[in-house]
Amino acid sequence: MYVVIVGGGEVSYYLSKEFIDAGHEILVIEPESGLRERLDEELEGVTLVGEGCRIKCLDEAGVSRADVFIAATESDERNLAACQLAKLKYHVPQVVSKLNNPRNRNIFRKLGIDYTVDVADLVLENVKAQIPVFPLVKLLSLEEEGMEVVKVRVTDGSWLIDKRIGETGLSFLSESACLARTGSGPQMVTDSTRLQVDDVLICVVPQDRMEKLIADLGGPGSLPEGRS
Amino acid sequence: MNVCIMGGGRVASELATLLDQEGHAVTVIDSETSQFDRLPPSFSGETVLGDATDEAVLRKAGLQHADAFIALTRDDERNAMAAQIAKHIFGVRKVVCRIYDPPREEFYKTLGLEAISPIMVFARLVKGRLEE
Repeated sequence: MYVVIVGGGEVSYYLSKEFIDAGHEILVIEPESGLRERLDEELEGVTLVGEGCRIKCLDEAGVSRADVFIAATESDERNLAACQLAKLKYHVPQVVSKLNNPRNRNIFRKLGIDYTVDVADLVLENVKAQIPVFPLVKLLSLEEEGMEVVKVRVTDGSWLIDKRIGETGLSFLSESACLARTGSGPQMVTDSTRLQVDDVLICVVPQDRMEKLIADLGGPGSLPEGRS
Repeated sequence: MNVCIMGGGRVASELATLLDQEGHAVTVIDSETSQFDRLPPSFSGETVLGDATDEAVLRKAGLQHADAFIALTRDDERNAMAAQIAKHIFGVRKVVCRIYDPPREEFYKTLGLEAISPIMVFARLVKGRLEE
């Protein structure tokens, strides 16, 4: 595959490395010499000097034969401009943009860039996953389907403990969530499942149910004693 | 007519002044207050401080009631993004944006934006004078 990345920061450094190790052809477009030198030194001649939202530069990069185009600059305006050119002028089949500001996710989608990676959201969800007081962590957004894949951990002292799912008001999870319990294999959640401390549920939740789920998890006693 | 202008540079403030004198309701958006100093004391329109690629700032500037949006910052990408938000999210009827880079002026026209490259306008103007 031929992969073109716009912007030579940290994200594109690690992305380039992964793609090169997997045997793909990579080109990184970056105007700043400092960032470019580092990439060239460590990854050997993968960069092109220029602005990734300029047509002349994209022509030179051969974007029309690219299979994947990734915009990863620090500026959402430049990422949008580069992605729109890649998609609508050069017809690259896979176009992905880094989002620096979460508020722009909807705007990008409405302007035709469907695949975005929201950096702030990723950091936030990863931090939350490490801290036990957050019972719910988003793993993946299924934008087109209007659903979220989430991980729920049953914390010590949670009101959910020993309750049957069918009695908790979370019965929409029954037959659709997977229960991961240390010591036993993965199992499907049913109405009669009784939750225990440290149980982990992986669920696909419609976006309009997220608020209810969060409210239910954050209800009385969902935080460990003394920490609420 | 309700007109929103993004950018408070020289062209933007000249345009804002002209439209204001003709009795239109003009709002100028810029992220630096000092840019508003270019507007004459007689200017009776509104000024909004903020980034016009931010939907919330555009809403504050009343874009939902605007008849026209004109993006006139020095930055082509910001102009293009704000103009598309105005057109496709707020549904503003008349949207014009400045795109310095001539090849991209063409590209944004294919996306349905009224893009104007001052470079091309001036080049054609001078060429026209030569041919007179």
